[in-house]
Amino acid sequence: MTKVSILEFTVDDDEVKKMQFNFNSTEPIYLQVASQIEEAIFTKNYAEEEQIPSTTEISRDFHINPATVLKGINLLVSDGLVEKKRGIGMFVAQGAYEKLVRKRRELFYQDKIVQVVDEAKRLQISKEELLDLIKRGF
Amino acid sequence: MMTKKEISVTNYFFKNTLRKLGYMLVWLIFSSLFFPWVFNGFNVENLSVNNALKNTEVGPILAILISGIALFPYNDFKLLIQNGISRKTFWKARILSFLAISILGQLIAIVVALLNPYTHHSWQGNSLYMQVYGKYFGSTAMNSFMGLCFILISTSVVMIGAIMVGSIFSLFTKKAKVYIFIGLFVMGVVFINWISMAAQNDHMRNAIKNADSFLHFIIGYGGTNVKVGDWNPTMPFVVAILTGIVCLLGSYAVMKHFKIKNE
Amino acid sequence: MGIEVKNIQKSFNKKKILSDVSLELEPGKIYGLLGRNGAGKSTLLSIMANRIFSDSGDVLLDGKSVFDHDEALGQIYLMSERNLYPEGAKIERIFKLTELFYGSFNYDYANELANKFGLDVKQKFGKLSTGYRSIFKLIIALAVPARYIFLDEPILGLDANHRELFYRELLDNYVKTQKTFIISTHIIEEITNMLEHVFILCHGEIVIDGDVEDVLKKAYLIAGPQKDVDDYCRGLNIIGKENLGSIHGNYVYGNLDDNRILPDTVSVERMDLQKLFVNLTNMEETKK
Repeated sequence: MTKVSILEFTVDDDEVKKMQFNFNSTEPIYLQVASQIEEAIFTKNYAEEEQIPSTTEISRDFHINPATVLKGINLLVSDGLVEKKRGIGMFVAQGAYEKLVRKRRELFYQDKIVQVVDEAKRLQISKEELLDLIKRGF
Repeated sequence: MMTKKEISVTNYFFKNTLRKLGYMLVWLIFSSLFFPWVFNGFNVENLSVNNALKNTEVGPILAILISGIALFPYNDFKLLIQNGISRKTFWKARILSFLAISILGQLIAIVVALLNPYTHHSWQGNSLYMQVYGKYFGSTAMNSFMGLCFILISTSVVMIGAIMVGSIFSLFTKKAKVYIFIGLFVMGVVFINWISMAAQNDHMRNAIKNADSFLHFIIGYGGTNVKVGDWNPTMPFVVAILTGIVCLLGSYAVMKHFKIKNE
Repeated sequence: MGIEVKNIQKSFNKKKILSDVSLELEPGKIYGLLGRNGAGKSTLLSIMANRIFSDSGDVLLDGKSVFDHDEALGQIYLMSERNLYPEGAKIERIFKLTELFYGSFNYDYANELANKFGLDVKQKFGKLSTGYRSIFKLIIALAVPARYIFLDEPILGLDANHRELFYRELLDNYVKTQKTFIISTHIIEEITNMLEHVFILCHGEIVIDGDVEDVLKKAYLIAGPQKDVDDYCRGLNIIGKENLGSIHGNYVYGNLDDNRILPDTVSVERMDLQKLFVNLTNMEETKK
């Protein structure tokens, strides 16, 4: 997993939270918003039950249409990673980190392990040999 | 009935025009003192304020200045269209505010004349109307009242006319305006030339005679046996009011086509 | 509800500037009106704000024509490159005039913005630099009570810091007021993500009218060896091509054919709004 430093909090005197989002220009922005916040939860930059920046803040700071930001955050809400508290704001859900780890493990299996096994088979690497290789890699 | 916006815009024009008028008057007073002073060899003693006062016709001066301001509507239009004001409101407010200022100006001029010892505390002496039509009615009060009405109406008509002319010119770009001025000047020269030529031609002389009698009709000329002062003011009133209406409608039609120019 | 532009046509000196432009603005969205210089953006906005007249067509606000209609015009503010304010008037006086004509004006907000941008409200409008004229007009645009704000080349003459500040304030204002903004520009990159919906105007015609997300979904870069790329793209709407050494790229706008097999050598990537705009407007250029 590439390690990206995503969120650097500095609290200005006028309470604006500065973050570093790395956007690229080709992926839909709402997906990027979701994945960046998700990444921040995963790296524990946002602890559980901690408040995340509001739609307005993200919109203002990164010049993104608030509807787009909201769409991204709603993805996280429906994944159960973020909770809305009416009138207060958005918070990282309890157990969000666990959920993310589980989700990413599943992805890890599907994206990486299946591929590795396929490639191993093509290279006529046996199961035992592959396990040895993995042990070496650890 | 006027909407809130119409009142705001009328108010704006009223105040803004008064301000411009104020500047102009200050300059006028300054220059009417400054130039005589310069030409008198920087000598204060020979300056006659009395004379200046005696000869100052406040009414016509105000009418000319106000009409002069009315000639240039485009800058106001720019500001108003930027501020979401329709052309209709622009026109309505402009007419109303300038009418108010024009009438106010003439009333002030009359008050000034009444206060001015050099006009023997009367305004009638300076009024062309009073001299030509001032004895038509039996009662002096009636004559004075009609004279007052005529001053107010005629200056308003001149002012509305200026609004219309100014509107027409505002449709054109600066370049086009120059061409139009040149064109009008040439036409004027040709016309005068034509008149003087025509006077020597029988056929034309007849036409001029007709024009002459038409003019007599319009000004209410009573013939040689009717003394100046007893002429009939009906036609002048009718003509003034008709001209006013035509200019009103004309300026409205023209202002409807105002747009931001590409210059 | 909203603004409907219907079949607007406009020519200047027999030169067609807008040919049959129709579009709709729904309340509460940020729109982009993109086009190259001379595409007709300013003309269209000037017609929509009733500054000039179209040859035919109509502009409706909540179903009523804006032409010579105080109420409708009072809901629109057009911030344009053209300076229609009196040169000799002080900024604070123009604030006053704006209040007088629009019925209200948020002074506190305007002064706060002036402060942030470093604009002296005692200064005369005519004495301001190009950048500060833009800033001044932007401040009015944000503080005026109109519901539809048209910004024609809003960042003209603004340096990077002021642009950054403007984007922040615009979005902040948008979230708070839910006004409708239409931003007209040929500088796209910085504003792409702020837009919800985009119109691309090219030679007086709207060539793209859609939500940014939907539009970008259909914007592809197909790259690989020339022959494979061309085979794969046959019959698709190719709007531009690019060569990078042996790699050839076709810019495609429109849906791809799902039935086609994508060769291993060919990759499908997405194009951003800037690239899409450049390709589309270049293509129209060569077509003419």
